[in-house]
Amino acid sequence: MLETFQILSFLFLPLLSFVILIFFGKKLKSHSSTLGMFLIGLMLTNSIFLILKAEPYDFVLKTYNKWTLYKSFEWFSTGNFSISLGYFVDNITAIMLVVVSLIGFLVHLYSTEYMKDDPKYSRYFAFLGIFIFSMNGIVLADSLIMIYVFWELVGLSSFLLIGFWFEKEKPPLAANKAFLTNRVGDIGMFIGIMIIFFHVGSFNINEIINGVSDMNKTLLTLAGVLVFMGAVGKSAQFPLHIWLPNAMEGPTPVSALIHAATMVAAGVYLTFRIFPFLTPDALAIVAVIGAITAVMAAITAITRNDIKAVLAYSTISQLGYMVMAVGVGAPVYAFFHLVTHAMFKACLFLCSGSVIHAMHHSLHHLHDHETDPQDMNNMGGLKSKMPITHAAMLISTFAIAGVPFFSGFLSKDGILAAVLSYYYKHGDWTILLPIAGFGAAMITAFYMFRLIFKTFYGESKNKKIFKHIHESPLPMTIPLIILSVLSLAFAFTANLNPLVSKGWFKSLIYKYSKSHNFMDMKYINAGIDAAHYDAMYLSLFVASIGIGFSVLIYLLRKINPDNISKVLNIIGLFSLSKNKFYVDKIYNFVLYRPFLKQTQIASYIDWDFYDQKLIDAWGWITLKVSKYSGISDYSILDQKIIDGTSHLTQYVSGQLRKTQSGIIQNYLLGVLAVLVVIIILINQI
Amino acid sequence: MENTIFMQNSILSLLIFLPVLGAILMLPASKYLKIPNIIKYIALFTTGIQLILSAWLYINFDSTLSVMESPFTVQVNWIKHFNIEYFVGVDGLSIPMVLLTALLSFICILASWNIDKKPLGYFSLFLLLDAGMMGVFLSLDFFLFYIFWEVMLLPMYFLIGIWGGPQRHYAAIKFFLYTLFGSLFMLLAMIGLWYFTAPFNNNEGTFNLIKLIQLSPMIDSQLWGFDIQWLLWIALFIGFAIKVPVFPFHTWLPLAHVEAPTAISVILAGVLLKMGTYGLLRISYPLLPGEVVAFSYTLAILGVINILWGAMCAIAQIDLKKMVAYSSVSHMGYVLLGMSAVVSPSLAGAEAGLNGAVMQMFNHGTITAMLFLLVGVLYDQAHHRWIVYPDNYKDQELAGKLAFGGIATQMPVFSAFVALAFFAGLGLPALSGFISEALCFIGGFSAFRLVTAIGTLGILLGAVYLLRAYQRVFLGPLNDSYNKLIDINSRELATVVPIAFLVLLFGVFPKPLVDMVSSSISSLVSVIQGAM
Repeated sequence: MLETFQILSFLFLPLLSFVILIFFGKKLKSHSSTLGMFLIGLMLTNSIFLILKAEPYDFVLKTYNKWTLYKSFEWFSTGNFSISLGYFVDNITAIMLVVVSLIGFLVHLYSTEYMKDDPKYSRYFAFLGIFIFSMNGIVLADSLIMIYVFWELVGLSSFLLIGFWFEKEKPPLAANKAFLTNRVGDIGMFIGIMIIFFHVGSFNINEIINGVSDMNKTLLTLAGVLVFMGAVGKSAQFPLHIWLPNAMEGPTPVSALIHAATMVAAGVYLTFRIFPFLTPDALAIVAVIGAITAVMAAITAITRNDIKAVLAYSTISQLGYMVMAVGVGAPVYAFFHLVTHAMFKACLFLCSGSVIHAMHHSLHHLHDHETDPQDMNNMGGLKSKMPITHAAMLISTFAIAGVPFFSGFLSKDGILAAVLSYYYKHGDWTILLPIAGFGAAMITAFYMFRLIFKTFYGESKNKKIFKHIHESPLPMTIPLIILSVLSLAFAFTANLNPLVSKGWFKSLIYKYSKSHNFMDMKYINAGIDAAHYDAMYLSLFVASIGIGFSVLIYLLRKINPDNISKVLNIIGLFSLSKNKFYVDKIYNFVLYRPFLKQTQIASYIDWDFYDQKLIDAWGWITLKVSKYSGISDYSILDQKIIDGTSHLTQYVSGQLRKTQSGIIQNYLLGVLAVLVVIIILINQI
Repeated sequence: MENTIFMQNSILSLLIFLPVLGAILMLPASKYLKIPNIIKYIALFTTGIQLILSAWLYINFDSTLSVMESPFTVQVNWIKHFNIEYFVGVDGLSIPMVLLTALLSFICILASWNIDKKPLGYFSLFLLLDAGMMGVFLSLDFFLFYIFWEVMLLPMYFLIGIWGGPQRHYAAIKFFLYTLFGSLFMLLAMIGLWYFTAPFNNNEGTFNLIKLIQLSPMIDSQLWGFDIQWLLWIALFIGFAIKVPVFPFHTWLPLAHVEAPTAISVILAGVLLKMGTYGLLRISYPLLPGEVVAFSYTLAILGVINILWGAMCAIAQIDLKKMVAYSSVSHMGYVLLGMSAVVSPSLAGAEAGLNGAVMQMFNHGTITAMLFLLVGVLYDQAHHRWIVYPDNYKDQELAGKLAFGGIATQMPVFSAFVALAFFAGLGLPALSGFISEALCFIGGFSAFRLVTAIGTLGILLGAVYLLRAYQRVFLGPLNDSYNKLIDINSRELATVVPIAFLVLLFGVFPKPLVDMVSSSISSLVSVIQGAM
């Protein structure tokens, strides 16, 4: 009972925050954030208590306990069909809850300062509350249908927060784009869930894992890929990645929480959960999608000048890594990367927010409303003015670039090893996967240091702005410090040797590499371990190349980037990057506009043609017919025939009068004859 | 105790005839009582009592009892010669509709408070309409059902034709003729059922819908080379399909909804459309189970066409109200799809589909009511409801431009309610539309995979038209022509809040709604599956 209460508090606390703030936010004013922080703080404490109960894997004895908490409640039942809602808590859930609570809490703290002057202050914190509520719902869910429910709610909160500044032109459009693009994926997910349900008879994930084995493999592949489509939408994978860059229209702390650390990772989390029943074919598709995303987004990130856009594409790219990791059979490293990424990417976003905040204030001070505070071309040299932000951002950049001693190194290394061993095993075209993996790693190192150098180093581009730049206040820098500490490898291993990834964290998640319905995980894990050193050396190598080029071009300025772009453009790479691979344009011209045109045609056919012409033609015909029947009725029937008849009758009766017998039998005979005719007619029917 | 029995026997008749009484009282009251707004208060009072009575009915309703066991059922001879009975009863199929009718009638009286053109006519006709609707949902005798069906038509004709928009005469006559055309088929089917089942009932024709469940499947002869059962099904289907409206009988709907005054649009979309699907479930399904089995695939296809075509047309609309009207076409498609699931090989799927259909009837009733009410609120202030001005707009400067924009800044509470209604309309979980749409899909999928999979595109299209409209009307920079708009007032809030509450309640906690309908559905499913 207490346990149920403890788990359900992860839903009720943020929901409470939402409800109170939405109804009483106006009265609470600046206390809104205090209330939100208090409730999320409680949740954070709660999550830490929960994770302390988690059972680690013992690497020496190779044993673990199956620590799980689960409970399910019937939502409704029609007799033979019922839907239950319930929670399933294991190590993974517990870790996710800590991640969501921790970053949620830090973002609350950060936002007290970042959103200070916003007139919709309390509403902002209310929306954060409903987001955390929905996100926890996904994390806790024990069934696919419950994941789907909260999946949509997360979509709603994302919509609300992207469109938070709805009185501006762009945010509402971005919010719509995010919601609709996600819905495309959700359709697939919904169909996939239905296919599985009618074969297994359950929505419960564990029951599905146990029940799909005798399902037709092709159908299961299809179902798995369809469910994965939901993840493609939510985790911004190619070809549905287009919404995430626009989502940066939302406030920056929101980008950190939702569009970097937690919500976009939900797709990876889902893929992680369904991993055991994804067929090898489905997993290959998953891996390819992840690889394409990782490379494409990384290439696009190189040419962004908006500081948040770089981070957005970098997020897409990193999510691609995680998805690829699941696809090649290393869900544990995907999850590892999910968590390390959550920390360093949240840190990066909050740092960028700190920079934007400073730029914004400086521009405000100068009454300059034209200059874009997010454009890196207006920055430069901020290191001296914003030392804490600089340090935090540098640490998290080391982490994302995969430098030893930082968290990203551990998780990315595992992923690259898995990709490499996948190629060792399968050969053939799968060489593209490690190429994508290591290539993206190099590009990532390059563009992240480009960001650092353009923002914090060199001469300042705009002296006037530079003069009024200040380091952000404590509520903003404390989260930066905490998150940058959590971007150190030590935080995850408690071990000073940078090359060892084993530690408390890995022991918590290690058991999830053990089971798959159709594959021998022992064999796969052995392959990953064997490829470990190759991968590590290669990844160190590519990271140094990436960083090295970045240093040469942007720090030491030995190479002119224009020359490089000209060289790259020989194969069109620069234009592709600059134009984001034309994906948006293609969608716009091939899908969106023709579709809108078609709806107009549909509407025209429906109303102007079908209704006004065809349906109303019946009215017109009826009117015409009745007009002529009116004419025929009066002029012909009445005037000619009826009156004619009466003339006739007069004549005939004049004649008949003479035959009038007065005998009643004759009349009866006539009546009978008519009756007989009627009866015969009736029987014919 | 005696009171309870009296109440049990008379509650259904009270529900039907109380509005008639109210309408009759209005004339002397308006003549002799010089109280301002007396007519409106009578209407409000009558529908209020009706709402309380329906709540009492709900509380005392036992979903496990069949109609014949139910203590509320009343069955007396009416026209003995033709075996026509006054036979009213309530079961899981009808109770949500009764509750919906009572609720929306009450709310619509409130929403009509600013009707000042011939109020006596308006409110008395409205109450007659109310009586007709209740009668349709409670009748268990086909003849009685038909009478109420026609009784509804005439008030509706006048309500659109007198109190409607600029094209009201055209809309009213079109609505009337179209529906009458359908009724004719229904009349034929009714007489046919009476005539052709007579041989199995000691040569006595009957309109008793419960008896006909036993009798009509025995019809085994042919007429003009067609199976009589098939002819009856087609005739009934045309009658009901026009009301739903099923593609291609749907074009009366946008016109009638757009031209009708707000409250009447609410009744049209909220209650009247449901009569089509209700008629199918109450009459066609149990009486002609063999035909249901044969027709269900077509029904699923028609449902999906409704979903997609309605949504496509809704996306193209530049009139907010017309968009909402087309959304009804789309949303009624879910009901049809859910209904088609009755032939599913999986019993769970069949139940999911049919329960989903009935729940969607209720949930669409509340959600669309909210949509129309809110559009009405905006229209009352802005005097137009263009999303984008049309190309032939009288002011050519404005043609093709965004008409509103940024209203949310000016009317925050109102916009929040619109957002709630829109998100409910696009099937967001935790709001009632989601669960019924999902059940319709799950059911439909278990029976017809490909068709339903195509239909799930509706999930996307529904979001497209609602969110696009929301963004263009409510979000973005505020259009300066509308900086004088006042936020929603308390009377308008009173019309919307109860519905919003139900939408949220049944979205989070659908159990009461499911429990209300599921056992009637189970018996209906077993009737149909018995014919397979």
